[in-house]
Amino acid sequence: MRNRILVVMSAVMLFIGWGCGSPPPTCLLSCQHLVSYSVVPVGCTTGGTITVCINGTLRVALDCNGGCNYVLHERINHNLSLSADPSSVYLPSPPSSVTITGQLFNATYAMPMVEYFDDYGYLIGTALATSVSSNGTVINVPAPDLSFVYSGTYVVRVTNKTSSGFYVEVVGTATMTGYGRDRPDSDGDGWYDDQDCHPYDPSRWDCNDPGCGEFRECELY
Amino acid sequence: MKLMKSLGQGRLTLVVLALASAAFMSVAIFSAAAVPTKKGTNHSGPCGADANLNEQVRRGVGSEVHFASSNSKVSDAQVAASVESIAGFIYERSNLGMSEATKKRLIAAELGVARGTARRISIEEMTDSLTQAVLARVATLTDEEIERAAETFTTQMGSIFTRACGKWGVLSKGEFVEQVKTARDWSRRGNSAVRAALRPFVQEEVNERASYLSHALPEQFGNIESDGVTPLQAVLITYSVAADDRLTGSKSDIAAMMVEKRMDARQTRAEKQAQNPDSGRPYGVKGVLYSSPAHHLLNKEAVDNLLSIAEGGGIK
Repeated sequence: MRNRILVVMSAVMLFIGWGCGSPPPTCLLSCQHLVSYSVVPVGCTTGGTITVCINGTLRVALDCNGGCNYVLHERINHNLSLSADPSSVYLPSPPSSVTITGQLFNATYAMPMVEYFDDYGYLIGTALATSVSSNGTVINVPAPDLSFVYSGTYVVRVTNKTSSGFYVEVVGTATMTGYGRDRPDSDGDGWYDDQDCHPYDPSRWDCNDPGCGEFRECELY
Repeated sequence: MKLMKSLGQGRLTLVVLALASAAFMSVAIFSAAAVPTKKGTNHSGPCGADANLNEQVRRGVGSEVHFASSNSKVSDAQVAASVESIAGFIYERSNLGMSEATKKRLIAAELGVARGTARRISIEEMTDSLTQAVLARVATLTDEEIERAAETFTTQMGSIFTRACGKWGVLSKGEFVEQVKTARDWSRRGNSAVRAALRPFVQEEVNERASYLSHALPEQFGNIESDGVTPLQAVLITYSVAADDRLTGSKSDIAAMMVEKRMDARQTRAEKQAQNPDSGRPYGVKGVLYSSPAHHLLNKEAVDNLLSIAEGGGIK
């Protein structure tokens, strides 16, 4: 595993001409092959994106001002396997804090950020660590609001802030199990009520789906 | 040719890009959703040279799909199982369902190829057929369908990337809609310049797949570049091109990639539902990994054309 220092690259882009026979305008950002980056437009209200570098080039759209004023933050994922204590949570009576054990936790630029995700990858809550051990192997963090969370497996991801001022150094993840609050599926269509925009209509579940077709489930070839 | 000259090469290029986009472009920059192959930051990418592409293909279509033997003694049941396997594979990844009529016709065509009463489809024929399918489909797009296609392709940053990695450039939604409408008008007039300009894009996509499939799965695809593809292989490759799905990754790989992609988006379920809900599938309309209106290319007409070649007819 490489232990690279985060490189903050300023944005610099080649602008492909918009003339005869040329492809449409695209910002081409120099990057390191197959490294992923957080690509942040400068002075735009729209958020950044995470993009992987292909053959030394990142291709992104023009920014909100029609230019290529981006800052790239190399994104590091140490992908460590961490452990959470408690690893099993009784949801009606959750703990107030969680202890996460691993390595490489770093509070040099800010307390590490801890994010809680459900088993589909949706964000449940975010908190900053309240303490980091001097050797960077243990952090304490407040538990998120679990009042709307159902039984299942959850992922806890820890990310360090770097000298770039961004949280782009992913340390790793731990898993937690929640129990004591089963998810209801009122119409029995296989989509839980919290996933289902029509929880009492077994024929549809999607918020934008007036019926068959939005997601092409009826599309035949 | 006069039309082409009068409109200018640059405009034609844009129109073709949009035309190709309308048929089979994907939405997002390939994000850091790929499952790391080892600890660190390496990811596989759809447009880069992937060191582990062969392995990823074997873990995907190579392990998830059951291919029947192509020898003359293959049974009806074995071919039927193979067709069901591919239909299920495509549906699981994109929500695109194969009709019973197509299944029956595919079974008959596959058996025909194995027994010598039908023939394989060359890569060139397949390219011609798909080019024709793109042009035919674009010619019949309604304004509403173009708007919906644009919505499907548009990234969170508001732009449209040509193919998953944007290898042919980036369009704004407005440019996309305008250019596809122009392409539609040209297609309706049967403009040969558009066909000639579009074909290399389709060819690149088909050839790329034929190449890596033949290397990754030599038993099933080893001779397709020289001998052509069976009807069922043609449908699979058409799906791959339409959805920009490289057919890589097992079910568990794909599930992990979808979770990681959502984690990188850092949205709650409610935020996602309110802004842009996904289909729960990796590819196709509102796919989690790549969103594309794949049904515009993988449709009944396109499959009919491919089957008619195998059955001895030409491209309609």
